[in-house]
Amino acid sequence: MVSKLTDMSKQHAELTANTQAMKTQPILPYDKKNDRPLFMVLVILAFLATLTLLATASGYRAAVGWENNLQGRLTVQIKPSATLAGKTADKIDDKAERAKTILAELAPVNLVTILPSEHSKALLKPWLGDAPLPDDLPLPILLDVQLNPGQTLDAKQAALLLSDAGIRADIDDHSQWNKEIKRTTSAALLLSYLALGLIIIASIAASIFATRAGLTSQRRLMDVLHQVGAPPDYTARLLSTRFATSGFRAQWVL
Amino acid sequence: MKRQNKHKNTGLHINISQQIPNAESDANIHFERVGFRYDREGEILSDVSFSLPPKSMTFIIGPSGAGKSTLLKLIYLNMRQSRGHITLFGRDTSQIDRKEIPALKRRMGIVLQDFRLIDHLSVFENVALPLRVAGRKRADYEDDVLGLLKWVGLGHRAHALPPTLSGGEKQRAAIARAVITKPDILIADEPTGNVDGDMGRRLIRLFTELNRLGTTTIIATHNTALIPEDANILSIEHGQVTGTISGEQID
Repeated sequence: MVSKLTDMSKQHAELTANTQAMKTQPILPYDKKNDRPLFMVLVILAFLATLTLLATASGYRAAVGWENNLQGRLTVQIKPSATLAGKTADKIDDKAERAKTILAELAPVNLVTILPSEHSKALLKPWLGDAPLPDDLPLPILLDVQLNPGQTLDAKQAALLLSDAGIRADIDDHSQWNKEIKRTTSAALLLSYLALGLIIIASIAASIFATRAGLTSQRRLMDVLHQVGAPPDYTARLLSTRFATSGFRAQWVL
Repeated sequence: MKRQNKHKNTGLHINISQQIPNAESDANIHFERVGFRYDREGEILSDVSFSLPPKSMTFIIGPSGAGKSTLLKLIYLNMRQSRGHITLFGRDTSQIDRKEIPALKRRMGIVLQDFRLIDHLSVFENVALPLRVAGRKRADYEDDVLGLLKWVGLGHRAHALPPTLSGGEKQRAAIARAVITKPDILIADEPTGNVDGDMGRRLIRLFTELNRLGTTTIIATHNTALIPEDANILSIEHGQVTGTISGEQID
């Protein structure tokens, strides 16, 4: 009798030790077979969302860069007049130097650079091709005007100033290009946000669908949980934790 | 109040004082002209009236389709009656808010014919489920669960998964899960339906013992041979109570 009780006590101690060593099992464990399709969908959606975010961010950065570049600069074109062509070409250089001096004195202007003739030749390439240009071909001279950060220069006023000094010049403040870039980048950003929004909606829809499917496939478990008095928010938390874990796993895979 | 119970199989003494519900129990059940019907169908229960006092043990008998399971579902708040009044724990169930139902269900233990065990959880985890749901820590309930498993003769099967259990073992695991929270009311629907006669008698003895410890016990069965002679019996036929008799009056 004593030995029987000793054996039973041993069994009890072993059982207690085994139970203590055993981890608490999840009520709603990760089910590889049933969860894999959802997991793949979430991986793909996360990948697309990341791509869209990257494209949106880089597009936005590029647009801001272009805008800043164009906003802070003007291009002045000193055109050769008929009398300046050929032998009198040195006079256009003279005019460019004077224009540089006049413009450099204006308050918003930070730096004026006379661009080498290669720039003017490069502008003609689309029309004349790579053929060598004759030396006596009258070419305009381009001046790059850099403004102080955050300041603007009225192109018409500047053109009038030069005109008063006897210099015929076209001043391009890039406002036309700026507007187009703004319009294009705004449209691209809008499309990116739209794509991102759609991906987020698709992710939410996939999660809702998966949760409903999960509820259906785990009907028995849900019935048992209700039977033992689990409040609705307890079962909701179980499901949301399970599918949030799938979502995080999908993000982690990326 | 502390009682010791000697388990017949193991001989171990375990503390079962936790199994005794409040002495001032409000675990009475009162039906008054209760009717129940599904949409557009005839009444499954009609004008059912009876009263079960706290700590009583009652068997509900009747042929298949008589309405026994429906009656139990109304008691454990799985459905609401179409008409009449049901009083449970001193409250009119039609006045109970849905949000209160889980808390009331935690005061009842339910054993169903198909056991409703969760296949991927061990017997220990299945029995501990109501305690986990109630937010108790494993360290707090581990000894209680192991003690109860021993009491129902499943101490050696604590780590087993339900699919590996026999019908009788599954039924005892389901009973252990139903009583682990020390419910005021224990409801069993055909608990002996899937087990042989000998196991059926052992299960009824288990229910009788739980009732003796103070749990209001209601058992629906069509197996009248297993009903103890001193039990209260509610007979149902075609959705109506046809009589209340004692066990010794059954042929």
